[in-house]
Amino acid sequence: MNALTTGFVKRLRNRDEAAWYELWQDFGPAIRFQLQKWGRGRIGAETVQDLTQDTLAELSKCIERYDPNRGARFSTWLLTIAKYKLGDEMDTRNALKRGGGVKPLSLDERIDSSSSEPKVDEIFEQRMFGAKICSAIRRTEAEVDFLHFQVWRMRVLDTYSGKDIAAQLGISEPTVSRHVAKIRNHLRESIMNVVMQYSFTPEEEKEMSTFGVSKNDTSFDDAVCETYHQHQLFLEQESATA
Amino acid sequence: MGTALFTCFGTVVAIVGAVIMFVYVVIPLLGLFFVFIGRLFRFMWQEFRDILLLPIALLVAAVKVCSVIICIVLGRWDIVRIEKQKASKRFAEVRDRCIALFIDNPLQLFGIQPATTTQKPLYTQQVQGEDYPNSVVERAFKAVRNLEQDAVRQVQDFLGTPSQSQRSFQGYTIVGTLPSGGSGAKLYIVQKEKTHEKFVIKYFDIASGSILPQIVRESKAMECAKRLGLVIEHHLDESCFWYAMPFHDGEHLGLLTNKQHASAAKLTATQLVSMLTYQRDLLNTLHQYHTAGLWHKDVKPDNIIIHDGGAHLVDLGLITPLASAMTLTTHGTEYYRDPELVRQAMRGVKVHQVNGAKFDVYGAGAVLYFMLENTFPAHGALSDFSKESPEGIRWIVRRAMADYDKRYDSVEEMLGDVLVVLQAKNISNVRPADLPSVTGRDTVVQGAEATKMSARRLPKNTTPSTGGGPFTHAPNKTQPLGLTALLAAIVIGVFFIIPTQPELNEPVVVQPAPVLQNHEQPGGPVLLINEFPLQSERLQALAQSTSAQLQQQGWNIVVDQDVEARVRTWLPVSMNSIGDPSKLFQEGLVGIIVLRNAQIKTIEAVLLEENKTTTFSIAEDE
Repeated sequence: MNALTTGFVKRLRNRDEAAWYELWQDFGPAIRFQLQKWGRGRIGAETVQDLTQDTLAELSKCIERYDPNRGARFSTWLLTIAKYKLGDEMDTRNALKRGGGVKPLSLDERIDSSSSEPKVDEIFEQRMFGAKICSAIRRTEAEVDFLHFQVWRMRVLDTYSGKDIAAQLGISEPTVSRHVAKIRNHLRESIMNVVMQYSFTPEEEKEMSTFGVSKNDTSFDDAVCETYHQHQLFLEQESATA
Repeated sequence: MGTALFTCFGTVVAIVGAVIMFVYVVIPLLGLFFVFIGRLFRFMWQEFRDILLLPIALLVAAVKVCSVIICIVLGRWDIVRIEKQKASKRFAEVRDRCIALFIDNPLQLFGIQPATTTQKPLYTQQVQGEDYPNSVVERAFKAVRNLEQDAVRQVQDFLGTPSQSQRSFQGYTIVGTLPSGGSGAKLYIVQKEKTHEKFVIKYFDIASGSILPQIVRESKAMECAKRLGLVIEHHLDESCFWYAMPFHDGEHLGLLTNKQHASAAKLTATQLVSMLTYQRDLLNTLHQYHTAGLWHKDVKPDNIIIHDGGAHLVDLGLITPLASAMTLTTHGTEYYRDPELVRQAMRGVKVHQVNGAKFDVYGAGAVLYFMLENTFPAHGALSDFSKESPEGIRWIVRRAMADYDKRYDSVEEMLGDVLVVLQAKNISNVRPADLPSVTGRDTVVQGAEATKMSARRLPKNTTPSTGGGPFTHAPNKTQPLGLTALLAAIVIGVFFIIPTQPELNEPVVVQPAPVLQNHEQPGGPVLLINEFPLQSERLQALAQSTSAQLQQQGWNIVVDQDVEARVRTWLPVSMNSIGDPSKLFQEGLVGIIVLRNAQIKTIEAVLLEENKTTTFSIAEDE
């Protein structure tokens, strides 16, 4: 694990409320959606909320026993815990009387067992990555000037032309370009930090290059725009089903 | 012939005799038999009833005796008297039921009516005046009804609840109900008997599931709302709490927005104008709240009622004074509540340390987003606009929902922008560049709006308590004698217990290792932020010692809750760097030290300076 991940994990272990809220805000929707999908209508919205919280709580305990040699991704880790939390819930609901059921495996055994590790859903991976990008955008928004961010937002996310933005905001086109470039650089840095923070494996850290952080500006903007809109759509779906 | 006649006569006599025997002997005997069977059933029924109700009466009596003892200790003599009466009544019932069980019921089995009055005891006196029906079926029904009433009454006595049908509000007539909100309180539409004016009564009842902390919170909010003249009347006693507020007979903004979006694929200019008019009304109302030193805390479409062409903000349940010394709570509605509020609340920040009015601004922005999109902002400030809407209005939404330190400073500033859009000839042509908040023009609201905003509805006079309502008025006659005695006993107990555990009084003295001492002193004031959730006394002491040692070494350490609250609004959540050093200088600081947990016996001190961040691990000096 890199220094950023270690620092974040340390904050989680120390029960830093802000760190927990950050985790909840970034990945709560993705876990909720996945649990709902697995639950297939058998569990209500309240239970989904509870299980999501349980998943995040379990994460802090499991991190202490994490073995980097196994090479599990952060997203896989979360997904595995969520799956077994749901399994526990279903076991409890369908529990037989004493002696009637099979002795359940402990959570550790389940997580460490490679045979029982669930195949990571590609959509879930996409959502996790979308959550990371949106988290980086949120951080950038919090750290930069409001006007600069709005210029970038109109240019990249709303895909207005530089000329239109200049007309709407009463500034010159070169100023628009300058603001956009400034925010882009800031966002690149934020994405690197966020991805590093939530990465357990070198493979996850490579997500940045796959995503196009090091690519040219246009490709980077397009990638951000596409990921943002996909994530927005997902959030709307998630909140509609909740 | 004679013999035949004789035989015939004999037969007739025999038949007549048999008939007479049947009518006068067999039938009465059968009647007696059936009466006895009836009495037997009644006996069994009465015995069953008494056996069932006897332990209940005994239990209720015992509870009432305990209640009397507690009230004596607390000095509530007014309640003592009532509880004593209830206890006596139940003991009388126990006595009567015992007599009925062993004496009266067996006697009645043989048709002997008891001379005592146990059949209509004290606790059933209210049915004495009723005419008893004659038919057996009706009598049976009556008995069952009496039994049911007895059971219900005893349960009510036990719980102390009046039945629903008895609920009424003195001076008001209930004319309808409204769906309950998140607080679980019941909402009644009532009409004032004298003026026929309609009001809404929010009613909390402990027996119906309302909890005391909720009532306390609501009563605090109600006290605030009184300052705005929004509470007409209120009542509080030991079992319930209610207050009356103005009734706005209309649909809430959520429903209205749904209808507007359903009627057309794209919002028309007229619809946009009406939406902005509602937004203007909302901001005017919020301005009244903020001017009175309050914030609403639950601004959302469901709490905005459209009535007579205007928008009225309702639900007073979370109103909080801006200068409250209480800890910030996360109450509110998801998607309309600022995430920053949750973050600050989780850090344990006090209400007065943040600007609550800014959280209302966020809610107002979320409401405007809802009107434009017909859905809530699922992604907070980053929520996308999927429907066509003027860029000028979108800008207002984004500015209102921006990060805490970047959004409108006040509702007046937001209102200034809304009015510019509203007054434009063509709303769609208004650019963000035309808005006062962007151009930096004076955003002071002028003309009619200024008059409207300044004409705050002040309360005409203090809202009166009903002093009665549906419940027996129990004026607070608390006599401190019992309570004082109880407190004195506790103090004496503590006095005797504490000397046996002297180590508890000893202050924890922990010396930090001199790690920070070697660091070059910053050339100016450094703000100290203590991030401890206060779970370990030793770590707290370690933090305090660190702070004290640094001060001794000449560090200019600043501990100021107000500065800390302002700094927290722009400091990154990770607290690992200073995003914008100019903000640090604006506060007159050159650095920030964040003390937070690291391990069991270690704390971490993060020194944030203009261009660098240094982390120190501070352990106890063993």
